[in-house]
Amino acid sequence: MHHVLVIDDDVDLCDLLTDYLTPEGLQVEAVHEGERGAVRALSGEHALVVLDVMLPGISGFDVLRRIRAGSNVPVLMLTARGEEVDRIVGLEMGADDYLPKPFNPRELVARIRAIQRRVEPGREREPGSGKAADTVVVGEVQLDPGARVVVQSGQPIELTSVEFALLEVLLRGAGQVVTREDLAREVLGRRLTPYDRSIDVHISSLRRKLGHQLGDMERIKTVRGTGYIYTLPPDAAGQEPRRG
Amino acid sequence: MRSLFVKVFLWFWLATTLSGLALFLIGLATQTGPPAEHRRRAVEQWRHLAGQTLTLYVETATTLLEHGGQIALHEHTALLERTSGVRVVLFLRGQETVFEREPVPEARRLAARAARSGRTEVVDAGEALWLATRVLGPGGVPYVVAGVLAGPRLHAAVPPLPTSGLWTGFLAEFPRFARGFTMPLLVTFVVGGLVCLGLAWHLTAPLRRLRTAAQRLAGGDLTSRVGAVPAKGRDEIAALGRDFDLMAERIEELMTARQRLLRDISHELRSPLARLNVALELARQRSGDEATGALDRIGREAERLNDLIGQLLTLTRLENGGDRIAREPVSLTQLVQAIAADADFEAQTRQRTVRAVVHDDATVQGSEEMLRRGIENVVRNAVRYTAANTQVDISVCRRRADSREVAVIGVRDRGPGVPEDALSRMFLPFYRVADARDRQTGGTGIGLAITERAVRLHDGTVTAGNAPDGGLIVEIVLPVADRAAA
Repeated sequence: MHHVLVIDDDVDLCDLLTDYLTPEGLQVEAVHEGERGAVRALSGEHALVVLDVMLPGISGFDVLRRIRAGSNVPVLMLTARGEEVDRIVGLEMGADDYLPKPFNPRELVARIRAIQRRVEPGREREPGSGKAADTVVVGEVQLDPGARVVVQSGQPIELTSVEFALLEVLLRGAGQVVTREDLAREVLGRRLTPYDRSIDVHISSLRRKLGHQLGDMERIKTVRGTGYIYTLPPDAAGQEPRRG
Repeated sequence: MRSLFVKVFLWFWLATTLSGLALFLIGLATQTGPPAEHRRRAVEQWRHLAGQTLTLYVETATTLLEHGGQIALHEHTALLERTSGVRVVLFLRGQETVFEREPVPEARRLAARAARSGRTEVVDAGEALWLATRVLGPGGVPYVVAGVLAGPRLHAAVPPLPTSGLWTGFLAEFPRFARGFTMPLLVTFVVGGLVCLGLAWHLTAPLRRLRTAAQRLAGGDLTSRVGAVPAKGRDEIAALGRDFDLMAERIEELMTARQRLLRDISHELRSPLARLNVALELARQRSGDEATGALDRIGREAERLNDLIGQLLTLTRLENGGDRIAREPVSLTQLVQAIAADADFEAQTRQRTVRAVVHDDATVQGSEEMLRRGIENVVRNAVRYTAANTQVDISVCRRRADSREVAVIGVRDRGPGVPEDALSRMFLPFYRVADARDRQTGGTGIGLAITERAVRLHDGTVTAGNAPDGGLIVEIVLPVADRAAA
């Protein structure tokens, strides 16, 4: 049973969601105000937080900021349809994904599943390999999918689940272009809609956390209109990423 | 005449010029009419008398010269000059005969003229009046005597004297009078023109301000005001400006309230819709197959409501936040091709096709997302109304209009078209050309309004017209940002 925390002031909606999500194997705890929501989210009891940005009193963004100050628990934001700015702001503040409200609950479940797949350790990334993915090392960055740890030059780096998944895909394809569509499919588990900046926002968070430069080169290069390349360090150029 | 400024200016100028002309005519009438005629007769009379007097003087003078010599003549002349104020010079065959005086060139010239013509010659030199007449002395010797009447006595003696001429009356006087009047008339014309120019400018300046403000308001800038300058003024135009500002304020309030209401309603509708969506899925899980059709229907209607709310919010955002839109170069070529590909994919399922024909490359400055929505709504509309098994054409070309380069996106369908009187109202929110058909085809009634707002935010225009061979043509005109020709 996975525990999902829903922070939404609409009591009826929370009840309906509880009814809907429980048969899906998700145990829902509903909180109707931001203050308590932030406290509950930081308790570490939940696998996922569904957060409505339009809350009375303390706003959803403030709740998100408090959560991120103390936890990397995956956060799915419910944004107002037509308020694209909210999405960007939310993603920049560390939300994993967003869903415009009103939403189709099947879509909500799909997003939750996508986040779960990312978070669950020991999942099979490559079909047919039959075992958990190996640790990836590119230059000074080392990513261990099993332990869900990223170490850069010996220092652990705090990443959200979506940033972790994104970095994993980029590192495995280091030196090659990974398209935005592929990233969206593998990381967010969905197709990008036109003008969806989700991937770009997460990439910029990654750049910020890992540092923009790799030696005298750009760490994650943008290939305009296509996707991104994680730059291979000079000494490893031409080689496959080392697996350990 | 195009502008009020030109009108006011020309009318005032005409008025000053005409009053100048009237003055000229009055002058002409008083100086050349019956009073002038009267004066001319008096002058003629005076000339005759003066001629006789001079003749008498010559007779006396010649007699004195013969009997008393130079001295007697000198004394007589001096006496005459003292008593009458007329200075006389006697010429014999063109030479001053007498008197040890300095020669007077004017007198000599006039005397020569009188000697030739044989009649009394008069010259009005302004400050002095010259006369010369030929007299036959004893023994038929021709003498000429010239006299000059000068100083204050002149005006007492004679009225101002016109030159003699062959013509008389009105016509005869006209050229001389006109010559004298040309300069004043010209000055009146030029100075009057300049004053009128300033006056017309001054009168129409507040009107121009008012017009600019009204145009901005009509263009959608609800904060447009005439402003402070006429606030002090008490004339009608200043009052009009203040009234305009009041009106604009009221309009702005109303529009803001309308938008806020629309926005609030749309936001409030989201919560029940969100609950409806979840409840619907629960119902799906718990009901049997026989309910599927009805539940699908509920799902579609909920989705339509959702679309409507989303579009309403887009529209209100476009109407409020035009100043916040991103300005980046957008390739219309790529955008239109992408839209056509998407629309074609959707249209194929309904046995319709969408083709893009790009004649020229064009890049505009603006928000790609908004432009996409704007163009997409027009294309969707075209796909909705075009007949089965027909094609919707999207074209991009460049054109010069009003000295600026514009890109024209044309969307043409092969459907029933739109009645002429509805063409301009198509772009109003919720305007429906024909209710029944629209409901069937599932339009929200806001799509084209969004197009209109989005295009207007990019300083463009959107117009609709019926094709001669059936179908609707919607043209989106946007100013292009790239200078380089395609």
